[in-house]
Amino acid sequence: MNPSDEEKLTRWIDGDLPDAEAEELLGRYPELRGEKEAAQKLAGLLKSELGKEQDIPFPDFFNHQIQRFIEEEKQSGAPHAAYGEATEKSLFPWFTFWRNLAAGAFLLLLGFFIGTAFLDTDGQEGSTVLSAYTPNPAVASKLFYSDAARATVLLLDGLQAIPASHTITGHDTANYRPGTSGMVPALYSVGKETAYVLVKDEAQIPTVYEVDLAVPPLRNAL
Amino acid sequence: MRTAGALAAFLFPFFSLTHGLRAQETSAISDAKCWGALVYAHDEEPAGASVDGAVEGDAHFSGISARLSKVFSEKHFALLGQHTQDIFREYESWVVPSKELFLKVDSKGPAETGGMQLHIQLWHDKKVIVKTDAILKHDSPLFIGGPKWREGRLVFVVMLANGG
Repeated sequence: MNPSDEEKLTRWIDGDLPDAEAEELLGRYPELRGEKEAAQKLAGLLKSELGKEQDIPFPDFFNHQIQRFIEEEKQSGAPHAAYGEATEKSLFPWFTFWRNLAAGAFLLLLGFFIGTAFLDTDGQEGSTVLSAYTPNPAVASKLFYSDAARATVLLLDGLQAIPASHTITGHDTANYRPGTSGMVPALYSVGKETAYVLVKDEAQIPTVYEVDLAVPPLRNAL
Repeated sequence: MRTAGALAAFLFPFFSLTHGLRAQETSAISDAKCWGALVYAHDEEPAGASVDGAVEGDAHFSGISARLSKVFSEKHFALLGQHTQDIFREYESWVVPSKELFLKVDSKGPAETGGMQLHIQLWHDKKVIVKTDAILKHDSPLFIGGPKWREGRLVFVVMLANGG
């Protein structure tokens, strides 16, 4: 496809190409018609599945995923590396790229809305969960309000069971005040027998360590 | 427990140096107080037997336990840990009744309809189990039914605390 045809193609997609020129273009590139129809079907599917406007849950993460998708497309060489090569399967690789991008965005959106539960809160007086997102796709969330318990309930199904041999304990943890820069200090139990130390790694993933304050060096350190 | 203590003893000097645990507290403004509890819902017999590691529940927890029984099929509810924590306006807050399951809570300010808007993350084993945007109101708990454990399941309860 020469540059002139590319420019016509862009105008045709935008609906700005006169009919006569469009027919002439399609006469030379009949494959275009199918490409456009496929793109239009995808657009219709997007509209029907996401008919009403809705905020994307966790937009930063969503944008990050879109960005990653684009980067992966770039690294895979599509569309530019294949552009104009004799071996390319499509005459219009960049068209395919945008179609793939739209399809990827659609799948991401669909995944987000499947993984995100929304609670109809009309008329509810108690606490409300506006959205719940379970990053693990194997985990499903179910939201409801229990009138009997006067509580909002978020049930997570599909979580891996914790082995019975694993000991789980807790404490009556006392209120803390953040340190400088919002840092989390040691979290003491009310009786100061123990303390939790919350440490985040470079990826900001927290781990809580339990400190037995009966050990003198630790008591002194805290 | 001894192993954990030894591990902590080994790691603690490092934490002290790198994270400055003796740092001065800030004058952080609190938007609310939040009560979080880790509860073991179970059917283990004999009924009412204490569970290893459980802390003593008070009258407040008795009320919560009665409400849990309206939702969950298990017969008994043991309080494994609890934490009442200020939720700071400018900083993330952590509600840590147990080192196993704990919450990260970010305040999004008062809700127009009353209560507090919060972004809550439930963490377990270095992973976020669920992220929620919620409006918490007084005397209206949020029950999060978590993973199965032993003869029952773990439930995280979170609600606004008095004074918040």
